[in-house]
Formats: sequence, structure tokens, C-alpha cells
Amino acid sequence: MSAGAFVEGAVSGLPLEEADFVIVGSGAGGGAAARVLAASGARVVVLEEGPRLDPKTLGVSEGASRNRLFRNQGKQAAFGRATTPILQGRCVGGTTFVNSAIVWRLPAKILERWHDEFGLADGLPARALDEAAARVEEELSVRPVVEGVTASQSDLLLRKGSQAAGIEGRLIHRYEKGCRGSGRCFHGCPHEAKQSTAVTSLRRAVGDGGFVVAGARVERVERRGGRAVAVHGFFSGDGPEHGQRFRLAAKKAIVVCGGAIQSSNLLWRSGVRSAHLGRHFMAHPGTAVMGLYPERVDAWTGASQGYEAFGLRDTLGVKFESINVPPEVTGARLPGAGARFAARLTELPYVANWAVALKAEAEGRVRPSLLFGDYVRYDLTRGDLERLRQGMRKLAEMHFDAGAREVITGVAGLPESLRSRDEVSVFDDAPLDPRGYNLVMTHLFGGCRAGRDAATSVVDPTLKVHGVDGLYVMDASVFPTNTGVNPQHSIMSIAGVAAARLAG
Amino acid sequence: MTLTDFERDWAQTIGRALLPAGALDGATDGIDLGARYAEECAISPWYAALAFRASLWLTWLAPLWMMGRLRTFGGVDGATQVEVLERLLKHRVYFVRMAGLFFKLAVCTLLLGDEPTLAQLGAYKLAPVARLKKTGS
Repeated sequence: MSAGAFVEGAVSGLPLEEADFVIVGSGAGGGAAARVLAASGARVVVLEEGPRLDPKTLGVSEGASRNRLFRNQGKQAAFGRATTPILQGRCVGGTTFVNSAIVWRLPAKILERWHDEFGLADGLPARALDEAAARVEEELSVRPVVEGVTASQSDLLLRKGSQAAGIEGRLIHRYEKGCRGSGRCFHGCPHEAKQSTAVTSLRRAVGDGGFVVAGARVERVERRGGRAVAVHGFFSGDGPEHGQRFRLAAKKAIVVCGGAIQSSNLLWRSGVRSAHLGRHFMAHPGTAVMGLYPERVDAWTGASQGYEAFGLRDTLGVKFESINVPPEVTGARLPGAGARFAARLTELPYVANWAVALKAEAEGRVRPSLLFGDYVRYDLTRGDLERLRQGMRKLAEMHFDAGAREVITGVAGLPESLRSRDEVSVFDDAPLDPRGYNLVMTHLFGGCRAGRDAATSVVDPTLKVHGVDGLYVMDASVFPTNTGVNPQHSIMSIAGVAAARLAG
Repeated sequence: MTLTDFERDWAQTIGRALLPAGALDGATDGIDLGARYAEECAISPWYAALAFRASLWLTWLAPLWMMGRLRTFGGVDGATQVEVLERLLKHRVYFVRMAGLFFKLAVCTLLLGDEPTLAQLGAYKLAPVARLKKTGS
């Protein structure tokens, strides 16, 4: 097998006129699929819209790295009663390049539901998924955050708070090799210790003869006689060929791995029509509750996320995580203006940010838009908001139990800050209106949900698009329900299983 | 979307009311916030750039529509400027509140998010860095 390569599309064009498999997107799904298909000896080309970046060039500024690494510079949003930012990576490695590398296998209860309600047992059998997950864990070097090395003070405080509350938790299990605790997971790990697909599965695929083309945006899939035969797009990177259009044929199949929003919209632009395409869009919206401690927290050391308390996941539908967001973002959440704000900023080293991630029951909708490119409509339900405010109250209690001297509520209409545990009941009066909260959406699911019945789903149990031969979707857009856990590992596992079947 | 020169000046004035000179031991004092705000606006998607611009106008004219005074933001004293910002950030109307928060987030990203300031904060174990370039990027 001849060696493949990483290619900058806008500089070098496409490496081939025809591949066996064309994979659209280089994140968790695209990386896992490329790894398996290239290892089978097939000619694989991965097309990634974003750039391939050397993390050492990204620097320490959150804003500068966000502008280069995130879709729409991190300024993408879902619209509804509230406007909610959506964070998605747009670079080689996709969101695996900019997330906290958190590992969770797909919960057995969720998989059982997928089998029972959606008929996915043949396509995604439990044993095959387990084997795929184990292989990924081995290849991506999964291990828990290490106390004294990669655990931050915020992590240890959350552990203290969750233990006081009797909520089960653990130091987070992550894909990393040689993490130095630089606190910059969201910037793109400066030491390439995070095992994103950019440094793992894509490199393996290239070693097996595959090509990864950065700066190549796919606009639509060409179909002939009910079969997907090629992709059309343009070079989106910097360079002399910027804007130039391309067509790349696929002899065997096209595998779409653009994520819940982009995969749905690529199918839509390609003429795929289903009553369920772009629907059942789900997420884990989250917000932070900040605690100010008497001792320094220095929430810029350690892994960006190091501890999680998941004991309420199956009851309240929330998971708590420590989250060391960059200081400039934390700073903006501190209250006030002028001298009062300046004084608050001196307290930044004493802030611990803990997030409540909500397994929301809300379902939204995704569509291409002339104005926005991608349009997402999403509104939390009343039940979601009730659980969100209960989760925030619990986090405030845990902060005080862990020794916080003050808690910043971050909710419109509530007191700016609380000084004692006796005051946390204010969260019971928090608005049942998403406009009261500063939410961020991550972990996006649905839009191309899988199922046996073409009348109620977009892809079949093998993840092939119903009614279109040679067109597959292998990312979180096929998830038929919200999983309640960080999705990267589940995406890699299902893509691994589906790609192995496709490779024969 | 390109900001006009007067909009750059507005960004500088409003931003400095939000985070006054001397804050964090003067770590951000040498930064030309107006220029940075304009740069961020220029490279942003159109709808985000519109939000940058709208939050500027909303704030600049806030003394008029929020307090009923025939003044712009630049025409009121420092204490009133701070009061305007505080009221914007707590405003009962969602989009007004969000405009205030959007501006605050932008200012924090632009002022706090460069290496000398982060070093001053003690973040990322950065060694103190002299600010070599005082304006723009």
C-alpha cells in the first residue's frame, strides 16, 4: 500500500479523481470510519472543511484559537425563545480537537432502547459495539485524570462537594497520552497529548494509504439511479485555489460524518427527502455555576475538565462537570461594570466553574438557510428548565459544602451572588424561561436518526440512507435518542462497527 | 463588516467604562480596544458582526432611550456610564441584556485574552511578557 498524506486542498487540490470511499468530515465519526476503511486496503479520502493546524501555533488566547478552530468562529447559535451558542470544531479532527476528550461508553439502557424501539439490534449489536469501544480505548490511550498531575483544584473541590451531597462521581476518563495539565484543551492541546482523531485515527488512515484533505467543503452529494456516486464542493481554505470547485467520485460509498447539523443539511442539499430529516435534533445544553473560594483555585491548570458527578443522570437527567473555561470567558461572567467589575476580576484565581449538563428532552430542527448557512431551531421544554434550575441549586449547595465563600448565580432575575448555603433556595424561583439563563449547547444528536422503518427514520440500522445506495451517515446525527453522556466515544464505536461492515 | 472610525471610538469609550484603565494593575491599559473590536467585527460572520454593531449603538444611545436624557454614552459622566452598563446587563428585555453581555464578552476576550494580560493574571504559568505592540493585533 502506498503512503497517503495530509493535503491542504486550497494549495494542492485533490490527491485523486476517484476513491473507493469518500468521507465527509474528520471528527469522531470521520476519523473512526477512515481508520477502519483504510485498514481494509480501500482507497479512502477524507474531506474536511476546516484547516489542519499545528497546535503549537495556536497560542494562549481563547478568542484567537476559537476564531480558527470553531465553526463560525464559535459564533454559531440555535434560535428559539433564547439564542443559544453552539460549539462545534471546524478543523482537521473536528470537535475531538477542541473538546475535553471525555470518554463514556454508550449506556446499556440507551442501546437497549435503540434496539427495542428503533430496530437497531442487527446493525449495531451490543457485542460489536463493546469490541469497537474497547479497541478505541486501547488505541486512544484512555485513562482517568491523575491527581497531582492533571487534576485541578476545581476538580478536587467538585469531588468534595459531590461526596458531601452523596452524588456518585469520578475523575474523568479521557483520551490522552502525556497530558501536562496545560488547561488549554479547548484551544487545541498545545502538546498534542489529547488523542484527537487528528493525531490518532486519521494518522493511521494516512499510514494505510488514505488522504485527508483540509480546506475542502462538500456542498452536495451527486446521485445517479438511486446511488450516490460523487461529492461536489469547493476549496474553503486559504491559498490560490480558494473558492475553486471540485468533484470527487466514490466507487463504493460516500460516508457523511459532518455532525448533527451539517450532515442533516448536506443530505437536504443533496435532495434526500424524509419527513424526519433535520428533525429530532437534541443536545446537552449546559450552564455554569461559579463558586468563589477562600483559597486559590487557579482554574487554568490541569485538564480543562477533570471531575464529573453523574449520580443524578438517570433521575434528574443532569450531569455535573468541573470546567476550566479560559479566564477571559470566566471573567465576562463575573458581575458588574467599571470599578466593581475590575475588583471582581482580581478574584479570578479564586473561581471554580462547575457546569450542569442537561439531558434535555427538547427536540429541535435543522435546515439549510440562505441567511445563516445552517439554521437551528431549538427550545427547551418546561420540564427541562425545571430540571436545569434544580441542577443549578444542587451545584450551589455543593459549592458551599466544598467551602465556597460565595456563589455567582448567573441567572437573570435572581440575586447576583449568594453568601451562604441557606440562600440556595432562590434557584427554586429561577425563571422557567430559557432567556433567563446563559446556556451553551454541546453534544449534538439527531437530524438523521437511525431506524428500521423508513417512514420514521433517515438511515437504516447499517447507517445507510434509506432509499439511496452507497450513501451512509456515521456520526451523532444518527442517534435516535439523547444519550445523556459525552458522545465522542459512542460516535467512534458506532462508526467503527458500521465502517467494518461496509469494508466487508 | 467594517466599523466606522466613530464606532471604533465608541467601542473604546464603552469598553473603558466597562473595564477602566488601571484594572489588573494596568495590564490592559496599552491595548487599543477600538481597533481590536473593529478587527473582530471585520472577520466575524455577518450576523455576529451585526450583533457587535448593534450592541455598540444600543449602548451609545442608552442614556437617551433608557434614562430619557438627551445625551449619548460619551456625553454622560463616568459614574453614569457605569450605571448605564450595569442596567443594560440586568435589563428585563432579553435582547437588551444579551447585547450588554455580548459586548462584555467581546471586551473580556479582547482585553484579557492576550498573553501579557494572561500572564498578569497568573494564567497558564506564563512568564511575564512585555506588551510589544500596543495597538491593533
